[in-house]
Amino acid sequence: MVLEIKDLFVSVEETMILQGVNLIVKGGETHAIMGPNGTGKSTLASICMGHPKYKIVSGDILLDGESIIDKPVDERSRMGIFLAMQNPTEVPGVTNFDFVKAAKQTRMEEGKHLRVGKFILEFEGASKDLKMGKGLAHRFLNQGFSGGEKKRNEVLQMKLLNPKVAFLDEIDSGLDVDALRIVGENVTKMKSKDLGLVLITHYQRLLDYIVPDFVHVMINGKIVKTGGLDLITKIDQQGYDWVKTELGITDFDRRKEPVSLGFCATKSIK
Amino acid sequence: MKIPKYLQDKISVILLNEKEELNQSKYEITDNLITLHSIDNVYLFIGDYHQSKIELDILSGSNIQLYMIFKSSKQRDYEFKFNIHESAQLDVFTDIRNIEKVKVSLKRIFNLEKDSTLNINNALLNIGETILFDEVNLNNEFAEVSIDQLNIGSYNDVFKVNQDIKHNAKSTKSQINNSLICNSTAKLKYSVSGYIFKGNELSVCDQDNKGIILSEFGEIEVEPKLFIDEYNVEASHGAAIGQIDEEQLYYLLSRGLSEMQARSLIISGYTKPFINKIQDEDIKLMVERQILKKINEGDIV
Repeated sequence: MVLEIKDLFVSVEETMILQGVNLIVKGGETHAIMGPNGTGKSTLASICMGHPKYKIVSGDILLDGESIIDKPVDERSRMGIFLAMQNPTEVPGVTNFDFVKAAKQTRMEEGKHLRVGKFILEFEGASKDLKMGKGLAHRFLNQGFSGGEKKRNEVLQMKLLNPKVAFLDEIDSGLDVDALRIVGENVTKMKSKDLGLVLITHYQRLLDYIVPDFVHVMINGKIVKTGGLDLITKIDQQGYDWVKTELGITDFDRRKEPVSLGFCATKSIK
Repeated sequence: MKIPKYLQDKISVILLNEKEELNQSKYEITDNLITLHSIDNVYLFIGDYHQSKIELDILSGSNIQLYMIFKSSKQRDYEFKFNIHESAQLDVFTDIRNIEKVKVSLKRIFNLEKDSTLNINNALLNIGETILFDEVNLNNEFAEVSIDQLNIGSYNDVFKVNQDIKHNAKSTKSQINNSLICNSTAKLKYSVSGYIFKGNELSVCDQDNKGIILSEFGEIEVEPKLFIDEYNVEASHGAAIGQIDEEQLYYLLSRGLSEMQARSLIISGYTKPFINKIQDEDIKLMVERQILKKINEGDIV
């Protein structure tokens, strides 16, 4: 599996958020993207998933060599892209189990049906691994869940849907120390040569449990620096100012998307 | 007169059809008064019944599950009065299922005495024009009412619903949950009122109205009203009406569900909690089929 993000420019409501992002994620790799608030980390994850709010101005996203930018959200998911969301949406009246079962069924080959009994055991196993309690299957999707439960539920879905590439968008926010360890251990167990991971985080603590191979710093809609684990320690201790100083980055010079002012009047003269 | 198939195995069945009455229960009907008692499931089928006024007494200490099924082919105006005596519990499931596009008007007044409980589940899945007026009078301490209503409108259905809850005593409790789905050019108009009168402290009056409009010309209008004349009470109301939530849709799509599957699942989120509350499996199956039919009729998904 290879996810390739090529010189990606993305806008929302005429404001350019991503300004030329390049990133390659291969199966078996874990990438951490760090950076100050509002630099486009979550936008990157959302645009890969296909959120309709964001508009690709230029660039491309390829999954195994195939461009996905014209594909709808559901197709991207079925192709293997997964986004563990920062704020998972509540869907009242829809049980967690019915939802995950329906999602799992979409991945079945035509003519094949999900073996429900087997899936129940899988669901219960994943739920137990994440210490989510027995009633989870019958609870309405994310409704009344604590912040930590919502995040663990995202990881549970990831476990059951077997994605090729997973973005975990601030999966550590709202988690206490124990829950963070559980999530970290579960995600680490899922690591394989068939799964590429992209972790979006502000803190080192998540990366203590899910050790990345690459650490990227994103500032002003661009990956400005890539390194290894030493980069995390330095960011944790010194923040991002040194990166800005080192690279001569001034704060937030977000370009507005070019706007057409109209056409000049022309007259053809014979 | 034939008993509908889904009621044939039931023990207590009362059929009121045109000018006929078929009573397969232990309860007597005298001067349009039916007195229910003990612990029982009672099935009351009303099909074009010529009498418009019926009264039901639920005796003290009884626990009755009453299934009221209306099937009209002509315009009818019905008026029911329920007297729920001390410490009695009445669970009423109502299903209006007229097969023709006729106007159905149903007025029900529920009077609750001390420590009595009323649970109303209304399935408004019929076609044509429907007028429903439910008035609940919580007349003595610790009387409680809970109303769950599922209303699906398609084509040019019109539903006009009034729900009035009157807290006439202290320490009384009411809860209304309305789930409304509207498609085509259907119109669902609701007036939901809770009254806590002076002196009736420690009462609780809550209402929650939610609705999805699935078409350009469908209309849902809800007026949630609270008339509170006492300080030491708890009251809340709300109405959330709109299109299918885009973020919910995106979330479901992001897990691989097609847009049709995602919409269908979101709609089932409105209908399933209601269906799950129906205890009789035959009635539950019937309602599930009716919901599916109603949804397919209006191309809701």
